[in-house]
Amino acid sequence: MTDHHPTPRPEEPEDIQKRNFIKTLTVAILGFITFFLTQPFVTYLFPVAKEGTKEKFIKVPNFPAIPLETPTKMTFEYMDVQAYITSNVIYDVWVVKHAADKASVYNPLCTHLNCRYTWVGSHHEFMCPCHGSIFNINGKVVGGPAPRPLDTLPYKIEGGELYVHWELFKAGIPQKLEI
Amino acid sequence: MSKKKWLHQIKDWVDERTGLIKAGAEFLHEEIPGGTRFSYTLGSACLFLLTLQIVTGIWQLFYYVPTIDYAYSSLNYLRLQVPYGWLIHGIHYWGGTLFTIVVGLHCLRVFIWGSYKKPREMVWLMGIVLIILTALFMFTGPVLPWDKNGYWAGQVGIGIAGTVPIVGPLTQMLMQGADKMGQMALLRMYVMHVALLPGAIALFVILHLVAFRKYGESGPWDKKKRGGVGYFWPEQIFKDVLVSLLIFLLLVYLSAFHPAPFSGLADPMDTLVTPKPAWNFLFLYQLLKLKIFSGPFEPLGTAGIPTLFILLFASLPFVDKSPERNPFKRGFVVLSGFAFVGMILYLTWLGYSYTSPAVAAQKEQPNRTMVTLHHKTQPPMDLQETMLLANANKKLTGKKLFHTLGCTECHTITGKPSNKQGPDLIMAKSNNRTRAWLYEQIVSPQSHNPRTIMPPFSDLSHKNVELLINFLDGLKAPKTAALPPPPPASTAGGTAAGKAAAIKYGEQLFNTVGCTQCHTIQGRPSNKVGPDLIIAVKKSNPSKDWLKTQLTDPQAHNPMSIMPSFSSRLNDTQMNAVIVFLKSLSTRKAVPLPAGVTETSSSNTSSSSSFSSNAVYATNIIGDKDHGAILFHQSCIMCHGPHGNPKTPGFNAPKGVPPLNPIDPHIFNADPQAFVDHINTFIQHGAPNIEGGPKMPNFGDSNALTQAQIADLEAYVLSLNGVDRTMIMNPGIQPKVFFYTLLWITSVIIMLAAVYWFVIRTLKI
Repeated sequence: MTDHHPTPRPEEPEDIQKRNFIKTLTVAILGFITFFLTQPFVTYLFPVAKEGTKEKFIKVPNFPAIPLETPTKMTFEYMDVQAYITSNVIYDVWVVKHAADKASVYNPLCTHLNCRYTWVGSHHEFMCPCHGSIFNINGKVVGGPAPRPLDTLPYKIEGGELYVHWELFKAGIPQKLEI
Repeated sequence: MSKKKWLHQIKDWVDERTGLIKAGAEFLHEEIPGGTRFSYTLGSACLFLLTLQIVTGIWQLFYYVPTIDYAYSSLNYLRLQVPYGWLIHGIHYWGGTLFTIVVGLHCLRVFIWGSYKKPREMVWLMGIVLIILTALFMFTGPVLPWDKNGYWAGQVGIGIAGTVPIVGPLTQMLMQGADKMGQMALLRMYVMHVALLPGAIALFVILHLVAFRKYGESGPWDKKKRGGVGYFWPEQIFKDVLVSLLIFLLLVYLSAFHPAPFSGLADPMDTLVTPKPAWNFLFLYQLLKLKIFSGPFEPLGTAGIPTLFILLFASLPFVDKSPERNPFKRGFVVLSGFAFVGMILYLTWLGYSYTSPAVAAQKEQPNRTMVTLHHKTQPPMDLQETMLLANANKKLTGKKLFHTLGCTECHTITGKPSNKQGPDLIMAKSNNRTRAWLYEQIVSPQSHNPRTIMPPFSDLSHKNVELLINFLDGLKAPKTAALPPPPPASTAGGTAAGKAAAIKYGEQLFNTVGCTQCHTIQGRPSNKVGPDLIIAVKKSNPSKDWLKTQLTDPQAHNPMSIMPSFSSRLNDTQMNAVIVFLKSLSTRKAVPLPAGVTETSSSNTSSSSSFSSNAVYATNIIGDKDHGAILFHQSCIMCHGPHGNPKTPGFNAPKGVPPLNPIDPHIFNADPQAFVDHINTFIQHGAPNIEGGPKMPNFGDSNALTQAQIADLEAYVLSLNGVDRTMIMNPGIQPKVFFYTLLWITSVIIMLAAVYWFVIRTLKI
């Protein structure tokens, strides 16, 4: 872009050798800096998951008070920690209490396509509003496209209180596959 | 050969359609009169640093959030928990500083060489725009961590902008986006720093480069040296790359060995911080302190001086018009230039070493509670040293002593009940203490009350104790000291109205005779030495006789009680009224909390933190241990002793105070987060007393300390036990190891290259 005509470069073999050497070294140093930064910059994007003190079973309050053999939607809070943000997440489950120490706990998502089903007391059935899947009180499919029964969640009852282990399962397949 | 041909074909194909290859070749081909030089590498060093800033800046955005409650935690997460976060943040932090320096050197080089002269005036002017943009980057960047340093730097900077006549208030409003420094200001600084300024600087760098290439490097001023010709590629670029490599090594070194400070979460409530701008602006900050810029001439300093500087720079090529470039023949211009640079450096140094105006006003202040953030090396002094200093100082007054020895930590002098532990000292005048009693209380408070939590000021010189007593004597007695008259006899008797009148009279007496110094009537625990009486009466439902004994001879119930006897201050009628009032408390409801205050965040709104978000909780904040040391000196030393060791010789520790240095092994944890979680409970919620000693106050619940301050204190207590709150949990590779590896590989590459060159050139193999 300079205005005057370029001066011809010296073309002695020694000059060319020197120029090539410098070119190689320049590219090598730039490559080295780039290479040395690449690994940190990529690793940086994969933060080490903090070993959470994830409690396996979380208390679902109010269990002693709910009626027997009546599906009840119950909610519980759980502290969710992600990086620097701690937030309270509210989960819900369907609980059918059979006795003071016995219950069925269902994941609230339909096994068909993860819509939220609900208990329709007048029909005595769980019904999904999306595609009309129907389950009986035991979670068995009695109608609609659902490929498998409602997903039960592991629970334990200690001192009369209900503790649930929250899990999610893959929708739309006949197998109960945790994700 | 076939491979090369194939490569050429691709090149030609691309070039035919884009012209990029030829443009690139043309860009690389540039002749440099007089040959290549290391002094010409400064411009490309700027470009290298700018590239690093852009990449590391973008990378930080993967974790950083610009909100006042999470900005600091997100940055700390990035620095301590994310692999190589320390490196990416470190390069950006130090890169900005280095960029400012290199830009300055680049500008100076151009100035000395006279390269701004015709026909390169426009290149110079665009350079000035780039310097202004750099200044704006360095102004907005430090605010983003929302730590103490950044918060105050922003506050001062925006304040300076606000004083500019006419446009000032508008500029301030634009920068803050609200009536004060807060979320909107942070967001605006953020948008400037990551969107507007990068766009502007990219544009002007391109303009600067294109304009520069029109005439190229100006070369040496000496005609004799201009003979030969050097080439930009590869010779000059090689030198540029060598310098960039050195800069890169320096950046990694600084990131590994001198990480950015953790100055604690921004805390507008914290009065111990000296507001200072970022170091780049210290010269301006210092200049504005000149007397001529006070008062009506302030805008002249805030607006006038920067404008003057910019105009001076911009007019240089048009004022200094002679084509002479030899600096030795441009004596006046070059010397003025150097004088200017010298002045800037000198002012920067003054600004750097300047202690805050607050400190200057209290030069005699012995306990150095006002330390500047930029002077972190000042260790906190213990009480003994403080008193020695106070004794050595001859200009002290009782009032100053009162304010500097830490008395205000527990006492107020407002004449009103407060939430502090000790009594308000104007209200306490109703106790009619003698000078001798006060002397004893200051020098050896345990002799009046073995359980008192007041520290002995036994090392204070006789003269200074007298000064303090003079000060206390001089305090105006409260107007309400006169006891209220009893209700008219007509209302006495068994009627309901009579009873209500008696209770009311008792309450009036209670409020005037001094009970409120130690007790509250609110139905909630308080910071006071004595219990809240609604709680106490409801709990134990004392009989009238018990209450009477408690009022006349409190030590009969508890030999260790510090409660004074009221037998000489209240006559029988008055005493009975107070007892009736106290009995009535069993049915009294708790005083409702002020609106917006929840039980956990305490009743004391006067000192409440300006943060209400749950995100801002001490354990989630990386505190500043140096600042924590100062706070410790103010709030904790009287019980826990100097440096957390109550067994320090010469320190008269109250009973049952646990040592913090070393701390109980059950509380200790090598993991900083777990350790902090353990001690946090005590600082937030307090703890019951041990062996009849003082109880630990609830500094968090009572808002006596802000969450940011508690975080600082926690960092300090950890440091006393050898645990670093700022420990990098996931470094990737340990910073120092990373640097040494880099240095080692670099040396090997350079050595191999040198050997190779020696072999093929000298030995001609």
